[in-house]
Amino acid sequence: MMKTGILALFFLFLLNLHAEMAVVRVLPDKINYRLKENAVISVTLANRSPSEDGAELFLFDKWDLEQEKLIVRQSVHLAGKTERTFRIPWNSGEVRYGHEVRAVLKKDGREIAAKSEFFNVINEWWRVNIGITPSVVAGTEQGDRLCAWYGFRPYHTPFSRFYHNSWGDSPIGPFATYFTNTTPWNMAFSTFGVYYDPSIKENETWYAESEARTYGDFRKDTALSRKWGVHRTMFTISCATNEPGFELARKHPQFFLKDAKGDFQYHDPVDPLGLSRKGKPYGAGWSYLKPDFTNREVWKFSMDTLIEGLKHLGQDGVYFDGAYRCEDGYDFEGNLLRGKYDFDETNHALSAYINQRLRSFRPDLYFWVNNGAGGSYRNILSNPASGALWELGNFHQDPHHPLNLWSSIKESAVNARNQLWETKYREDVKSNILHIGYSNYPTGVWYVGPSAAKWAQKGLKFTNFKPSRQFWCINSHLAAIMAAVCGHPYGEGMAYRPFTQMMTRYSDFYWNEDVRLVRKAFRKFNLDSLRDVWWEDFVYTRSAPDHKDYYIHLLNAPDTLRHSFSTIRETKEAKGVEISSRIFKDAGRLRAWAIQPYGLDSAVLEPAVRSITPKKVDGELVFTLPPFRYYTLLVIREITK
Amino acid sequence: MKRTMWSILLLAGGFAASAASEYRLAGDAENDISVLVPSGSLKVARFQGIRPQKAFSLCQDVFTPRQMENGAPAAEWKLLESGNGKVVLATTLQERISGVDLNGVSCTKTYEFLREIPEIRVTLHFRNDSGKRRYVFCGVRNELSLRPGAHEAVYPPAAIGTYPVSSGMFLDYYSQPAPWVSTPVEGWIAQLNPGLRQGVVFLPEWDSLGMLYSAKGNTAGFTVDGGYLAPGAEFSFRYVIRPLKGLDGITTANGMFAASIRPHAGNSVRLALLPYEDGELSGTIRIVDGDRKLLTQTPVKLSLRKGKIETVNLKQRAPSGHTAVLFSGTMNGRAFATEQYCENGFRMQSLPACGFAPRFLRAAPEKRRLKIISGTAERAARKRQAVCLFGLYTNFNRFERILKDWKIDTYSVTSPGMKEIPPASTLDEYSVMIVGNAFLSSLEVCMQRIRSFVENGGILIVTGGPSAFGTGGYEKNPILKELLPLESVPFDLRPAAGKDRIDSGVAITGTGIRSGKEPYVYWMHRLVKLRPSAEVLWKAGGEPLLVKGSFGKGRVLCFLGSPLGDPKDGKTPYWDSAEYENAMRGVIERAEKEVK
Repeated sequence: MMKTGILALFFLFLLNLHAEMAVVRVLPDKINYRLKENAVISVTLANRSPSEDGAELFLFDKWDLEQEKLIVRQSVHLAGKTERTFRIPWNSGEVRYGHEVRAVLKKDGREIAAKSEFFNVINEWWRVNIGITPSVVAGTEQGDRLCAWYGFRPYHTPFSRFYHNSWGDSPIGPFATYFTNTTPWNMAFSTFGVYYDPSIKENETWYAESEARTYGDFRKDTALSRKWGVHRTMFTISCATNEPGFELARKHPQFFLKDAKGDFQYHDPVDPLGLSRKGKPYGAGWSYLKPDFTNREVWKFSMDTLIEGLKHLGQDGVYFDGAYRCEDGYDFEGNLLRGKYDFDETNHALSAYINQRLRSFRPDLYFWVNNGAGGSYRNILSNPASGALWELGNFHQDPHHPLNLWSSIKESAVNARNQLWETKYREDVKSNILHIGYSNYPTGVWYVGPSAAKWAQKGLKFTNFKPSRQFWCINSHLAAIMAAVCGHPYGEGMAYRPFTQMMTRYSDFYWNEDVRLVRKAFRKFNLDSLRDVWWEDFVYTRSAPDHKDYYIHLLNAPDTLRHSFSTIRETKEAKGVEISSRIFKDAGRLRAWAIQPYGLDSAVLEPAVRSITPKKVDGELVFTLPPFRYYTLLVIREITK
Repeated sequence: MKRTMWSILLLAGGFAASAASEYRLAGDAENDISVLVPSGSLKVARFQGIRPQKAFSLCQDVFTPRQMENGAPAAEWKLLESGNGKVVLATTLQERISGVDLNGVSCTKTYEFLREIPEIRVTLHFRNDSGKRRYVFCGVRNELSLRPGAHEAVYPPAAIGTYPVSSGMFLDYYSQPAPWVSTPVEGWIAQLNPGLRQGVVFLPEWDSLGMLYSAKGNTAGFTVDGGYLAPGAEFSFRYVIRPLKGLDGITTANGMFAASIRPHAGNSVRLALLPYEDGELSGTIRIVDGDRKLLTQTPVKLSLRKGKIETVNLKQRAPSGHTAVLFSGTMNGRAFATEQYCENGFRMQSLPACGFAPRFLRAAPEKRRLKIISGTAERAARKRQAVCLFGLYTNFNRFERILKDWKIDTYSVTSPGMKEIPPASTLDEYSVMIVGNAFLSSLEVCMQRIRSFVENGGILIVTGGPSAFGTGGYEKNPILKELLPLESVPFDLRPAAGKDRIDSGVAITGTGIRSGKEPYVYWMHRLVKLRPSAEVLWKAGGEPLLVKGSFGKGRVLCFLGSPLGDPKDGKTPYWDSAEYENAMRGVIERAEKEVK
């Protein structure tokens, strides 16, 4: 049965490659629509034969697992060796979460070509947040395939994070990696660094680093993001850097933490001469000073300037790269602050103040905060439009760290999810949105793209990436872990694409407000496998009016014990994996599907869904999964009405 | 006669060097170490059981910070002597390699392999044959790689404890390139592959000024400041290299042992000791919390055998905050003490990104005072030019307007190591040196030169700011203590009008400032204690603001004001005041006349 399915897919793929009439690509004009929003779906068809040909085009809106609605059915005729794009109007409707538009070409009632694209329909855009850096990469195996198969043009990944430079001309916008959130990740936007300054002209360079140049650039990015339904959050961090930050410290030294002598606490060495240079701003980056959040003047200043920036730069939210919080240090009189103030109490009050000020300014702002899943920062998470980031990088990916084990990464992810989902501050914390981000790669490697000159400066060549297939194996395992904890990926790399695509299409199963963790899942389900498959911590449930779903995430354990950038070989497949259960009384009211992301060698670059019929063995229902290399989502649906 | 002998030796060395490029220092089952000529570095294929995949290189010379940064040409060494576990090399340093400060200075380098310890002993000896005043600043760097392609960890003994600078990716991600030079708190530096538990430790004589290491953890070494070298004068120092085998980290190293203190299994701390000699160790391990309150302690008594790792586990409930582990005692009658900062074991690798814990700052011990040899030959005539060591906000002090007809050479005072300082040999051409709110850690690299500059008749102007005087820790530096006409204390930078009037200033009065035209200061170093010889030239609110002192033939001007504050009282802050500029110019001109 399964082999037949694979053969069918492969046959479809061959049809696509060699059929005279082909679907080049399907492209919604946004990656995220609001409910009942008017939209346009572009379907590009090609006739690869020398003579005119025709077919019938069916365009479907698909959602959930087997739900679909025909958008349009029309005859199409193309001259020989031509391509033509049909712009088809559509209304997004009222079905929330993941959708798929599927274009099917039929001839004489027989399907000759098909292709899909994936997006979300939701007003609360933050629930389908993905922050993978936009990239379609030439020179890597995946990038080349995407370009060749989907008619994409490669574009540069953001050496410049000003997106209008990097993906502004791309015909596929955010669909390269399915990102829905762009946050200019830049110290320059720190409240205490370069905040909005009305004296700076629209096109005046106010910051030297490539990531940020003018307010005009900033606005172009915002406009480009909005055009594609991508939202933007404003980066902020509790530090003062660059010339404005150090000037702020000069004017108000009492705003900043002191060391044991009374000097400012410097995060990193700073170049004083560079800071004083006029006309050519110096980006001090992570060389910064730390504000003293026991000082109430600092609270007010930070929110005044942040709101001013939001007003003028038009953002949809704020990303706190670390919650504003009290830190160890002294005031200018030499008082040790931790002794003088109760940090937990002060931080709790501070996060309430931040929430109150920002929500008063704009109630629908989305906040997300690095490492803020509870504790004294819980007030920031007191609104459903908020989330927390777990920083995956650091020791987990450090090749020298004794704890950079795959199992350690998995356990840490589970802990991060539980810290948010099962917080002891449930009365305050109203969010379960867990961003997982900052996955790290060796210097320069995440900045893949056809910028050979930049690579050459770093001593890297295209060939450096080929052996690792852009870390396909390790990224797939990382992405599988992110998916299994219902995380929202925030990182870099094309290799996440199969997962972000699948999470977009089936976002309802990952990020619906009603998805709940099944504790002690081993009491309800059993797993039988010859390989080590991780699943017990990754079972969820969701009840709908007419059915109850179980979502069982199965992760094939990596072949290597440690996370290593030198891993090239793909993990061996898990075959014949079975999930069994005795909790279902009536097999007749049961449906099950296995959903898998596409793989490196997949013929079709779309999620694969297979219906599974359970077998009854000794009173147990047994679900046999198709082979998988990294990850499978098993959906078991019990019809309740 | 001596010089002739030296030349003959060099010539002989030259012939020998042309015959071969590698000279065996040690060759047996455990050790395969050669000296490379003309690079003068060591090629280590095996060292006491440490077997790299590919031979690594140790002891490349460093003579200037610029050379270190930019890969300027290396010295070319010639062989003088080889055999019996000893290789002697010689060179005459040239300006293009070592800068003007060591130009024409003869140098010998002696490698010895002492199997019984085991260690490689390296002695560097300088003799000033240039006939001119010279300055010794030199060092060695090493590129240790046991497994090519992987960064090896560098363990600099830094102020918040010892931690590996191993994660190139992390440091690149989060921070500016790490400093090349930092002040060590203990006299060693190590490079180690924690996974293989193999590496080497360098133990220089405590003349060492600084440790140097790169962010990526693949280059480490140390620098030595030998001070001025009069014509004909000599200077030498020695360091040893010992193997580290069996340790997965390092917290301290000394002549007796190397040790690692690490969090272990979540609720305990493990001490691992690698002895370099047999003997009895008696000491205590103490764990303190963020307020240095004792959490637990345990006595340690060990009979150690050379080369055999001993471990001690100390149970400790996981503390809620940061902790430090203190380990002190004696071994074979010699004392030792060290400490290790711990951050719950969470981000031990990534201290630059974590909350800083100033309570764990350890000061570097006062180093053995170098004998200052102030050469007198060919001292240059002073010109109307100034050198400015530019710290944060120094531009507000307006020296470019005060010294408007002067040539001012400005060097950014980066923390903690200045990369481009004027060569010591040319410093006496300057009349004025401005130390503008400079980090003490940066000044240390040139402190001997500053002292000599003033002693020889230069004018030193030290200006206030967050990194200066008491808030800069100047009182801790013995040379500044000697030079400055005042003593400062920590947290001395305060609002001039008091903490309740932070936006109001205080008028500056004194020499050269006209009544009714007074500039205002808003933050200043207060609580200073004047030395008897100090002369107060300006005051603010009755407290000294500009203080003059003398040292040797020179003068020292301490301006205790700082350009901090957001004036809201309608007064003219001194940094916007022509009166301040004119008065300061007058003070400098008078000092100039005094030193002539």
